[in-house]
Amino acid sequence: MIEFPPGLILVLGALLLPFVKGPVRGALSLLLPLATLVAVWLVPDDANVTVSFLQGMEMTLVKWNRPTAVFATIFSLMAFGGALFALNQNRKVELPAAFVYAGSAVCVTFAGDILSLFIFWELMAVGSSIVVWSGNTEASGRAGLRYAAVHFLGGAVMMAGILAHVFALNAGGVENPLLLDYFAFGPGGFDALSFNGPGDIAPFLILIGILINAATPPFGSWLADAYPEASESGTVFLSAFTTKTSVYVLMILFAGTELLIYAGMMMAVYGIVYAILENDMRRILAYSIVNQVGFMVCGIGIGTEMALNGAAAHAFAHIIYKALLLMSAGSVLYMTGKRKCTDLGGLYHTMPITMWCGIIGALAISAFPWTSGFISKSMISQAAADNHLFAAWMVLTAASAGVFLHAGIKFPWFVFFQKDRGLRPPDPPWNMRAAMIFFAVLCVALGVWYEPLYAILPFPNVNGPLYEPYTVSHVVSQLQLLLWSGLAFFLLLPVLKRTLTITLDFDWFYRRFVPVLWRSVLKPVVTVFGWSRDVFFIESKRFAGAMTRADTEAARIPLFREWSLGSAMVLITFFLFVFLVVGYTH
Amino acid sequence: MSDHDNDTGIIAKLRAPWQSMLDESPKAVRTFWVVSLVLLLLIAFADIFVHHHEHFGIDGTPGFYSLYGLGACVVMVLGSKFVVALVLKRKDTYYDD
Repeated sequence: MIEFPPGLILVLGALLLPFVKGPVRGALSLLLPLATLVAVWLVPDDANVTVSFLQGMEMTLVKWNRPTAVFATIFSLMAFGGALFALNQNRKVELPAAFVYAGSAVCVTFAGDILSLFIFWELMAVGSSIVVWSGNTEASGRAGLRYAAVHFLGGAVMMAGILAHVFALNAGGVENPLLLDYFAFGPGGFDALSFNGPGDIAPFLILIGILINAATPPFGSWLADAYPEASESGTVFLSAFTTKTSVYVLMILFAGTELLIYAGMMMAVYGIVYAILENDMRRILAYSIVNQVGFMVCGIGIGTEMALNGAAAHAFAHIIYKALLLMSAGSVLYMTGKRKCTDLGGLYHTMPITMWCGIIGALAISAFPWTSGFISKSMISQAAADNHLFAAWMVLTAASAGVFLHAGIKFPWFVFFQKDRGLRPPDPPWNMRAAMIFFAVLCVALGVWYEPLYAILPFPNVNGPLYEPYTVSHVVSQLQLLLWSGLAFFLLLPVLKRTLTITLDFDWFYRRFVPVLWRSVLKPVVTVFGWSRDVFFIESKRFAGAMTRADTEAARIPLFREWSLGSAMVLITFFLFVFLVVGYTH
Repeated sequence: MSDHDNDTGIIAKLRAPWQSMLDESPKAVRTFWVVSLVLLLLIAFADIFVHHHEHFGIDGTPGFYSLYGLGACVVMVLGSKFVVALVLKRKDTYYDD
């Protein structure tokens, strides 16, 4: 009988990792995810573990929501695969941070109230930022800072929405306004939106907070900015949790919200366009995360049982093949030290295992029949067709063709074939090979033996199969779509020649526009009027002090000086977490 | 290989990315292309025998998925390369300074 959030095994276990070394550390890093997986499945069906919070508030830490089984299972499995892949690396902080990140993701899926969901949501941001920083380069340091800033900003927006809604519920005399059920805005709550009070803006703020984490453009540039800067193993972890947890939360709170259909379509196309133009192999795969999450978001927008099943199944399949692709790319980076397509090529000579695993991942992301992508993605397209959503169906079908082009062929072709650059590295160490083979086997196994996955979907059908992927029509149409888009790739190869370029995205605004605006417009103005930087800030501090009636003595103590949003959020999250643990043990 | 270096015809352009592999094993490349082209035709003409359940009218047309796959990819590649890239493409050292 499990009476605690299973994800805490990973979160708390991670804190032990820094104190052990050698084989013990290795064993522990593989056992913790497995223990979490077992614990997830031992949680009783009617579990409802609550702790009281403040006065009269109640937090529900363990509760099965409809999509919990799918997401909690794959998150635990992913932590295991990632740990196996990372077994030979000796960065001290990365793995514990990754485990806190993964464990919090599992905790989010079991949360039965909005506050505990939010606490673990923020803890994920802390863990993942540290994973980015563990890349240990100057670029990863800066990218991690931008990553953290975006996520804590997103968290603050979401928290504002939560508070607005809680106050509104409180005013309405609701007994326990934290319960997740009150936040299931769904199609009704969102479409019937009106601005009569502060509570009415809540769904929008919460939605924006989630969409930032889901990497929906224009809020999505953080993903391709930060993920490829992490270490080989760090990127594998990062690819799995943040966006898919957002998919989970969207599914709980916003299933059937029409806006999401369009958001998903936009993501699917955006990912392809940017990936086509990209030269960095791991950034190509990062853009294709956005593309794939677009399919899921679109499915959630459609909101029928078939569409939600499809979105959940696709998240499950996607985590495995995307991690596999990034392991393959990570192995190449680990063995060659190169990450640009213009520097790579011809690796099929000496890295056969990495190549074959990469190709299996590429086939799976392209949804080839008998791979995991086929049995999940086709459900979303089917749901769009069944609901006569012509535009959505056309865009998703075009995007399916585009996936094969930009990830399915482009990644293996430019890395393992095309021009021989004379690189002759061997396959990576055994643990990296083992992790790749494990996930490659899963990609194919799920494509052939999909019933166990279908059985844990949000809406499993009790009488008869819920969806039949392998009809002659499905297989033939998918093969037509893919093979002919493959032809398009090779016909367009001269146009697709790799160039030493990047493509500007929304992050340009905070990486270039704002700094330049400050340096060349605002700062001169400030200087002209005789305010030095110090005066400017001292004035604002005095103003802030007056606002809060803090005396000047207090303002001199570092603790009482103004805090940046990021560190404030970290601190708040930390205290909430401590409170949660303390509250639980009582 | 030097025969083709100065050739600017369309065949030479299509051939160029394969040059490295052609030098190594012309037979493998040729086999790949022959098998692929046969598969492409077979799968496209399979629609004569396969009935697709129509949802929108056009998706039941024989060969629809083949043509749509090819067409969508051409549009997306050309659109990215010649429209989006025109505005947003920068050197990869853009943010480095």
